[in-house]
Amino acid sequence: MPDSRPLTEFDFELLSAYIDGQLSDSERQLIETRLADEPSLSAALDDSRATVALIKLLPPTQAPRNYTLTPQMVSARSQPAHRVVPFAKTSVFSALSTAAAVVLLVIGVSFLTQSSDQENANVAMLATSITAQPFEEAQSNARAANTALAAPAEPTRPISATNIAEVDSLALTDAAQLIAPTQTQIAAIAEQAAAESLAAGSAMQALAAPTMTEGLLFSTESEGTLSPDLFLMPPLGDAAPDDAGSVQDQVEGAGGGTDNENAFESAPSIAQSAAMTETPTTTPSSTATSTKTMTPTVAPTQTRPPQVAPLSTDDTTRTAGLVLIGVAIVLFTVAGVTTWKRRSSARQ
Amino acid sequence: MSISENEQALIQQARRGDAPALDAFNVLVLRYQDSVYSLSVRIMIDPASADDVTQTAFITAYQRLDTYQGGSFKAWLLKIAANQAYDELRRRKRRPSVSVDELPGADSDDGAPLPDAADTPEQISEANELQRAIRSCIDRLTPDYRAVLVMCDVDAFDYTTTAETLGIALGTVKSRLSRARSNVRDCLRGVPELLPMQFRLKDNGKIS
Repeated sequence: MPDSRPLTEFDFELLSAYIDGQLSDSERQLIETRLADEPSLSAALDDSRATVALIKLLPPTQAPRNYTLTPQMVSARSQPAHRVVPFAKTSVFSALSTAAAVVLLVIGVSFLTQSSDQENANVAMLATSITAQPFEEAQSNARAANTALAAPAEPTRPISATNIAEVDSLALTDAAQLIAPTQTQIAAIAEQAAAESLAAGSAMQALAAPTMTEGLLFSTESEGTLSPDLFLMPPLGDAAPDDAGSVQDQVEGAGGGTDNENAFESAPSIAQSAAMTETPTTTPSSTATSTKTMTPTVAPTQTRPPQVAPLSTDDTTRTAGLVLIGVAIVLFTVAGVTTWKRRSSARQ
Repeated sequence: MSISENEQALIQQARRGDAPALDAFNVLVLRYQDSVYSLSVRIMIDPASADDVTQTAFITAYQRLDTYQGGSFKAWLLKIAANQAYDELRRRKRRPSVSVDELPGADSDDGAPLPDAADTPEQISEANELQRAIRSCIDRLTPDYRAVLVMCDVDAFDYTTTAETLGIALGTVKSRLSRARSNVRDCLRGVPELLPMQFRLKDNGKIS
């Protein structure tokens, strides 16, 4: 039964508009049909009409006085230019804030970029120091040893092993391969070192330098082409991925007196393992690789490399960059809020 | 010359900005000040605030006379007054000197109006208690609903002019007017003894 349906807000809205003649033809026909069928709707219409009639009984309010304008009123209110606007609310402030924000943003980003470049440089220096250090220690060990051709003991684990160092160690195996054919030269240098420690040190350093250079170049060149196998060396190659420390250990073994020859004899086997792992991805001949890369570059270890590059300056630069970018964002926000407030007040 | 033609001539004269222009504008002020004050006092409730709003509205209208682009000058004036009144209410809400609950229209769903000793002198002077009751019921509406009800039912503006004057959609005018009428009806049910026989409200038709 249609009459049982309770009236809704929409029903009252239709009735209100119906009283004022604001319904469309279709809406009016619909409400009139319902009014005929629904007594409650019809009663609500009567109530609404009575309410509107009561409200219309209210006479328009009379103004308590005249509001005619005087020239003073108009002139006093028509000079908004005399208003004192705080500088922080002006468009000049917004423009200056935005300009300052852009400048700070550019400087901050350049700081971060410099920081990134510096970081890359530090990584290279770190790699250099890691690869160079064992040779310097080997040099001193060689000075201590009279016979440098003793065989090494079982290869021992390196002192430190990082991924970078592992990659570089592959280059060092190439270096070892290079060293192997010149065993007699090294022996002679080592013997000379026993007599003239400083001279021998220079000679060893000179010998080690190209291999380190090659190591750096190799690690850079082959970084993208090395297969995962390189990082999963077979037992034979265990000595190879041992970073430069393995060579150091082997030379240290020479200090033991009994295994000195093996220390250098192991060099070819290390080189072989390097060649085995390197062949599928790089050149077929590791010697070719060595000769190609070792010649042109000045050895970085001619001057003593830093042990670990200090990062404090880098951190400061990065922090300064981040702070500048943060300040720039704050200035952007302030400029935006100021502009928004100014426009919204102008709208009013 | 018809009133409308006379009005347009006065507006053109007022736009010149000299002393006679102000005189021409004051003719328009006298013509419409009751309507402007009526709307202002319905929105503001407080007569002193309505007085301020009315005066400011006329000054603003004179200064912005160039923005009037034809149509009903009365509606244009009322729009300025309504904006002034709403701005004032917004300012008060941002910096309320009294509790928010005491702001006009905050308790629109209250019951029947009771005799109020705090009525303004203007309201006290109302001889007719019924009118007082109706005024009191309207005053209990929120400013938005009150403005629509006054424009449509007291000042007899159509929906379109009301929507344009108050800057709201036509559908909003319909819904606000319907709800305002319902609230006033429920409010007046509380004082049946004041209602004339022909306007006696039935106790039905409640919104579900």
